[in-house]
Amino acid sequence: MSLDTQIRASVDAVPAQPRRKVSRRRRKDTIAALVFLSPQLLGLIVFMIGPLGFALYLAFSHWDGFGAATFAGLSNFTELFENPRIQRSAINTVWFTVLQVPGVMITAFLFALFMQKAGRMTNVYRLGFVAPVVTSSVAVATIWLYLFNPEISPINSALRSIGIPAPNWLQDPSFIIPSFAVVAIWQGLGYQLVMFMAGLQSIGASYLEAAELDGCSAWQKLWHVTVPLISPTILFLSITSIIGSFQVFDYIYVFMDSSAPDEARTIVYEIVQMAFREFNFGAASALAFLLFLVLLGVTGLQMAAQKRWVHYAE
Amino acid sequence: MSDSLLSRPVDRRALLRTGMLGALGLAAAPALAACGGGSAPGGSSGSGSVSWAAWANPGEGERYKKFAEELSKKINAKVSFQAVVGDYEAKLLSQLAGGAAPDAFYVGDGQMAKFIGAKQVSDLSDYLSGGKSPVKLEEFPEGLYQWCKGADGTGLYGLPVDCNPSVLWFNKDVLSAAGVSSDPAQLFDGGTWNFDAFTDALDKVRGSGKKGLILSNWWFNWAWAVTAFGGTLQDESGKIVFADDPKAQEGLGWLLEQFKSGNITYAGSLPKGQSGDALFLAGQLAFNNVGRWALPTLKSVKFGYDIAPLPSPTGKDIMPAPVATAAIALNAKAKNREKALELIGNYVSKEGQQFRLSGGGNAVASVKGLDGLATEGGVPAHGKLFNEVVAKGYAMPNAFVSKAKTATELPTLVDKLFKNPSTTAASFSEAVSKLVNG
Repeated sequence: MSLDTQIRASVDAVPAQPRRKVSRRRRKDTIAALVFLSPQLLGLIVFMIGPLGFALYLAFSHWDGFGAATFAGLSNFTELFENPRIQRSAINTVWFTVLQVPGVMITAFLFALFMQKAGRMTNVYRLGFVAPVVTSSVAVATIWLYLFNPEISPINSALRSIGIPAPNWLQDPSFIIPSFAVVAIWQGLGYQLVMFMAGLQSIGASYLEAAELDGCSAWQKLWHVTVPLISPTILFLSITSIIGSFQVFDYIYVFMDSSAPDEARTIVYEIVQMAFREFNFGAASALAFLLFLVLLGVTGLQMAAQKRWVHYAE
Repeated sequence: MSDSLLSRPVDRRALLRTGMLGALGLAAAPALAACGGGSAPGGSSGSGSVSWAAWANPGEGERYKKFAEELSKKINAKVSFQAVVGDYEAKLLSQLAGGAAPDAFYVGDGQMAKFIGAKQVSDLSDYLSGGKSPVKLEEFPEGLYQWCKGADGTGLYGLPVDCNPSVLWFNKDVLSAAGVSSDPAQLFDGGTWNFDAFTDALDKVRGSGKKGLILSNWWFNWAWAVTAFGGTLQDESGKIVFADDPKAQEGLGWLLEQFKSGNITYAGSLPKGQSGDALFLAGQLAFNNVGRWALPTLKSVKFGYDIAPLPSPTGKDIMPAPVATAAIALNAKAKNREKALELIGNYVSKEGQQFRLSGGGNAVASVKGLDGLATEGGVPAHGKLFNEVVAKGYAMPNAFVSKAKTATELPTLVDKLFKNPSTTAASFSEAVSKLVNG
């Protein structure tokens, strides 16, 4: 045996035992990790993946909630595409999103900017803005039901007192969805405000000082420094807001109960109606599946587009 | 001491093992609890126990629990009540689909046909006609339970637990301020509470700047217009026939005229009780077309109020009017069928309703002979009229709810029709008949 061969053999032999040890330890760690994760995994499978899979199965089935489901092929989807009420609900949902998402984001951003100057009162204001967030949607809707009552609403009284004709918020077809958006903006403001405040506070003062030294105006500092630096926050909030707004349901249910007019219905409201009022779980699941695909697509587009406008700090 | 738990050395492995088991237990507890949530409260798995589910406000919930305690002694079984909070239909449906529904449960008028069709509820006819039932079918007003029959008109799959007739609550102060000299109850007592008197009162209230009456798209709020002039809503086979009835057309024509004149405001599909109730409580509305459920909230108001039946052409009659009701049904897969039947029988019997409804003030008995419940405390002054309206009233027509899709589309259709100013009695009748008769 040559020296070279001996060395190679000894090199091969030396790490053999530790490698087995390492692999055994890794296996042990993996098992331990799985054991630790198993409660969560179990919950995920039982309460998330399982129902999702079942919903997908139902989307291609006829099922009224009782007995066995029968294969439906694509008929549930055909039924949805041919149903003018669903088309109207889809338009309402998009209209709500168009109003609510920019509405809440711009408002929250502006208030977050003002709050930076609030000094000692910051916590007081923040508490006021966050209070609606931690209030249940049903309670919020009940309060707004009073505020939208055309006869006794203080909003309408105020509008009338300054000569503006007060709308019938929840009856006039052109005001129903904007009314929902107002409520959603009011309730969602606090969360976004906190997120924007955190984003603004993370911007280093040196950036703004440098811009100031370069002679930037307040607007230029805002547009060219502040906004790019909080673009990750904007991206996060826009994604979560769009998903949330596509799923709006609770306000409508409290405002309108189970007999909302066509002008007030949204996609999730339709899903609930079809499933639990009309016992058409197949079509309801098909609609839920389509909503999932749309949200997946919209989120995917946002993620793709973020490369162009989101700046991550080093 | 050396063997005690505290003094024992704890090695890393033991700590990890304990931690893992603890974490597993903590994480699994809610999941396991959730899985078992459907059947555990019912407690009907063992023999001698029986459960029922219902929606209930806190006051009703307490009363039902007491009822359960009393009934447990009477039928020698552990009776338990499940209060369902939130979306009752959805939760019940989930329980039924999962085979975890209680032995008996409330069914709303919109769901009964579906549950019968899906064989989720059992026929109670044999039990009622047998000797063991503490209540007989004859004790219920005939119009109250038709919706609990099967699609072919046979069988009886639920029994009305209580009811609420469609009456007119009125604010005496608003009417008086508007110049209405005799209130509707006085006019009814005098035999002059007809549609001219009603229109006159509504005209005067509108002239005073207040609202006369607010109605929604719920059948309870508009179907009386079909029958109040003597029209027929449905024939004996259950088919909706008011499109061909001149008296029904007259009633609907009157209603649409009042919408156009502004005497009656259409409140669309706002949750029942929200718009009309809020205004009535605020002293801004002269009439409120609701059931006895309005009473608890009215007890603290400062204005005078009373009730009157919907007007009639003669001014002295009580015409057929809608009656809101719900039924208690027997789960077709009840684990304790015999005790569940006893529960249902006792629940709707005179004794049971007296126990459940007395002091509550928000419903009327669904069996004859309990007139005193509606006049409890002497409020409202004409409370006895509740019983008279129930005796002549009708529950949700089967045709409105025989198909789940029809049940959900009817309010939406009515909403569209009432909002359209060109709707006539004929076009309204035609559209509704087309939807419900197919």
